Amino acid sequence: MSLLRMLRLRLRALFQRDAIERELSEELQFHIDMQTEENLRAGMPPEEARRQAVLRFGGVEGHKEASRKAQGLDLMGLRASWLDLKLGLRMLVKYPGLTLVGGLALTLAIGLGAAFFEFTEEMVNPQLPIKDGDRIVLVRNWDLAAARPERRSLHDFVTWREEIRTIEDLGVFQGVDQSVTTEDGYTEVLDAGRISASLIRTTGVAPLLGRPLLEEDEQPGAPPVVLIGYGVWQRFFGGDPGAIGQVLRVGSSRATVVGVMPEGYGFPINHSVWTPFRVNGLEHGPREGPPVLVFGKLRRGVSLEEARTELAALGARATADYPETHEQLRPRVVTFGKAIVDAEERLMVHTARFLFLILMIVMCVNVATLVFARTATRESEFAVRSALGASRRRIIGQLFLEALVLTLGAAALGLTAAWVGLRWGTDLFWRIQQTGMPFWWNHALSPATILYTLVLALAAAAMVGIVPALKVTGPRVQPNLSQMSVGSSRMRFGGIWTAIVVIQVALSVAFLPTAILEGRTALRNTERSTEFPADAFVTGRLLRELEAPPVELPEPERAAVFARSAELHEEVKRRVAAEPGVAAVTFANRVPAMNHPVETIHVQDAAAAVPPDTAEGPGARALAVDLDFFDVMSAPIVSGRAFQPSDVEAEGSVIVNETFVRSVMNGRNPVGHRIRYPKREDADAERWYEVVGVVQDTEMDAFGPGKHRAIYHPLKPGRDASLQMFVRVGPRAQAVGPRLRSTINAIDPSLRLGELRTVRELWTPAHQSMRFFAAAQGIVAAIALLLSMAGIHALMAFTVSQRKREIGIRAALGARPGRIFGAIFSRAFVQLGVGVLLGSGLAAVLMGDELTSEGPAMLLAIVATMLTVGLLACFLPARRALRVQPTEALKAGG
Amino acid sequence: MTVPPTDVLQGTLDLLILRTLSLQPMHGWGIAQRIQQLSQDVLQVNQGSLYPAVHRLEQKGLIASEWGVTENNRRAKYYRLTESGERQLAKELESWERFTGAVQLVLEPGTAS
Repeated sequence: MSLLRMLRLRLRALFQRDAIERELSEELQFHIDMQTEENLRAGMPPEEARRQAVLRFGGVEGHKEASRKAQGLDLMGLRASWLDLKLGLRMLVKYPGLTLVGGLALTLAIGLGAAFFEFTEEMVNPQLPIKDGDRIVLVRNWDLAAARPERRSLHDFVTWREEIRTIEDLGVFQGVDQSVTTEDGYTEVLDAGRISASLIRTTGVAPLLGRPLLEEDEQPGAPPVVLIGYGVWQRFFGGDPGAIGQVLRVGSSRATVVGVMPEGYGFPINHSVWTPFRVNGLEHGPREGPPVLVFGKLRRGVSLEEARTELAALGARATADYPETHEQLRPRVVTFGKAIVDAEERLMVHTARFLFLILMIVMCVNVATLVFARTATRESEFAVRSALGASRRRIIGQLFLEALVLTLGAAALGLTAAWVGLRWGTDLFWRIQQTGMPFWWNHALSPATILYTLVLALAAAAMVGIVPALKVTGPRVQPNLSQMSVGSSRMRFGGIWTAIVVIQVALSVAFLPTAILEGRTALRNTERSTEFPADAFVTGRLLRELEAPPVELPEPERAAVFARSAELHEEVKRRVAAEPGVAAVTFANRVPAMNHPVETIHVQDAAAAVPPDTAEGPGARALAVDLDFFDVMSAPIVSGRAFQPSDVEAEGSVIVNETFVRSVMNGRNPVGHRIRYPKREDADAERWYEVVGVVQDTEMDAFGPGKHRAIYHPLKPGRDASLQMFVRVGPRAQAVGPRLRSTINAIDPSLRLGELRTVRELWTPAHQSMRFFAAAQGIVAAIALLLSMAGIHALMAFTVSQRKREIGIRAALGARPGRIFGAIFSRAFVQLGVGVLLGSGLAAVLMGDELTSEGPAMLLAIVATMLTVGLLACFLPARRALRVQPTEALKAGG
Repeated sequence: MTVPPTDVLQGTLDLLILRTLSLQPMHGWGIAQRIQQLSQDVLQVNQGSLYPAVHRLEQKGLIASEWGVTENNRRAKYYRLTESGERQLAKELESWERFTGAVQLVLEPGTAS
């Protein structure tokens, strides 16, 4: 039977069971009536005819039940589940404390897990919104020796395009930051791409207006054309259909707009301007030329495996033909979706997902403790039920369904929160990254995430419902029944549950101080106003548009371009500094500590006789800065020397910041040590830089000084396609903008100035995210505290109800309330004490060097809070215990 | 003088129902009557236990049901053979013949086809 039909029948059985029953009765009645008529015809009197018919048919109810079973409609079972669900809902209302605390904890755990899953799914497993997106592949040379892709593959591309049979429409893509300017001077710096016409075709998306790029456009001497994205069309032309045929300055060339791509298209990542890639691979030798990406589409019906086999053969030939360059190169093919994150990042994502699972298990164990305490108080209910014939399975099923009601509710709430949070959070994330959102990013929850959440809810229900149920319905049900009348039970809050309460208290005490301190630091950083004059710095990107990057040019043209760049650089600095209202101007190749990749570094101790060969070192951010950068940022050199003009050409000196000295060098003076970047491409990976000085941590870091390790290189004008200009201005910052733009335009037509913002504006998204994480930490901390409290409360309430009789007897025998109180609650106090002690120790370790003057005070405050909260949690059960009337207790036991 | 009716063999009821329905769609009572008739009253279907069998076959998708009206204008549930029911009938008939043939061989060696 098909699953669908099964489901239909099941649903019908649940919601239309009256109809089914009616039909069954009618069918059997019809049979009996027919038999009666037959008997009448045989001459029996009416009464006898009917009696014989019924007799012959046999027990109607028995046959009905057999029929129901035959139809797979175990109505009793289904009805029971329905009842259990209703019971579960009633339980939620009856125990609002447990519902609130447990529900909140599970909502948080499931919601966080779902949000992280959904977010990473977009990276690990992107669904490209294009036809046959899963057939789009990336072909690249892999450098075995360096374990990284070799992207200078134009020479190989020519061979691949001609010979590969399993992949069609092979094309190249080269991403470039380019300024795009309209005829009337509106400029933006955009993620642009030089792309083979075949690639736009491969994606199977037709332009909204005009035509795509064509092979003719790639011919040398063809008129320059440009294809633009929807957003560019809106911003540059206000969505005017007359944009087709208009001219845009793209980089250094004037190109005619031939087409507009539909909204949401940004192949390959978030690109919005495409110009034809004029490829002549034979111009470049093997392993030469610009770095490019080679894309294609698996031919229909061809598997990735077949493509791999074909490429391996081509690779073997290339290795034989060009042993000097291709000895270590192997062509590889991966689907585009898999190429976005590499294996290492994929592993990180899966590890992080696993951590979220652990978080959920921790939460579930906590909630299970609470549920166990509640279940234990219902012990006699289960004893009676099993005495009346309920099977163990039935009772476990009931408790599971009760838990499922809770976890499904939490999952629904968590999923909704994740959805809302992600809509807001991903936008913010991509703004901090300062790159656009990838075009395939989809704000809707993916079916995989919803399924994942459902599985989480089921697993949570199993942990929360079944584990306590197994304990309660163990083989001891029979003794429980006999003990019931005596008023005490054999249920015990066993060692595991005690340990859970202790661990919970310890974790709360250990993590809360650090969480609170960090949250407060984050909040303070967002309000920093005095340390760094963030409003007094105006910043924007400055580009020099060139026909080709100077590194690709042959000498002596290259030297000439660099010389001209250096000249222009000096002139820009002179002219901008001369503007009224401008106090200083300096450049860096990036914004410090913002959208900055962290690079792996390798530090070599110059003093050591044999250099220790640690291939994998810590990470740091590399930044190229003007000679006067530190002066303008008011960051003094604290050791060694500053950059000198001679460092610019030599390119061998670097300056590190104090955070670097503290965390990488363990405080030793780094001057004289050498650093390299082992993960950089090719020869760059082997290049060593000598540390010549140490600079104070600059304040121009959205996350506060002292958070990032930085390595500063001397800036060489012309090396980077664009630079970040920092202008320190007087009080009226905004007014400077237009003047700066016209000044720079007047210096040289190849210069373009991007959007200008103050450093504070630059900080905004980072600060928003810091506030968000501070708030998130606060919520997690509050829930941890709440869970500890609920755990202690549950334990106490349980103990009191268990020892009611003992309390009564002791009171009757004249024990003082203080003694009784001490005897009953000593266990809770011990748990609380042990938890607090363990937690304090852990907190001291965690805070480590951050154990400043604030640390111990904070820890003391948390310990005090924890103790107060723990005692409060004991209070209600304690009051109940002391109110036990001896006579009542003894009567109950009678 | 009549031969006492024989209870339908366990497991052959399904085959008989399928076979009966292969002639024409019919209601439960009709199925019981037809089996009795065709076997010249030798086979007696336990009337009550017919229904669980019919419902099981419906569940397996071998037969389908719909409500109809009898000659006497009474509402009755009619069953008919589905395509997979026809295939199943052919299969069961074949194995039935093999079975009876084998039994025949054992009982009267030498007379088998």
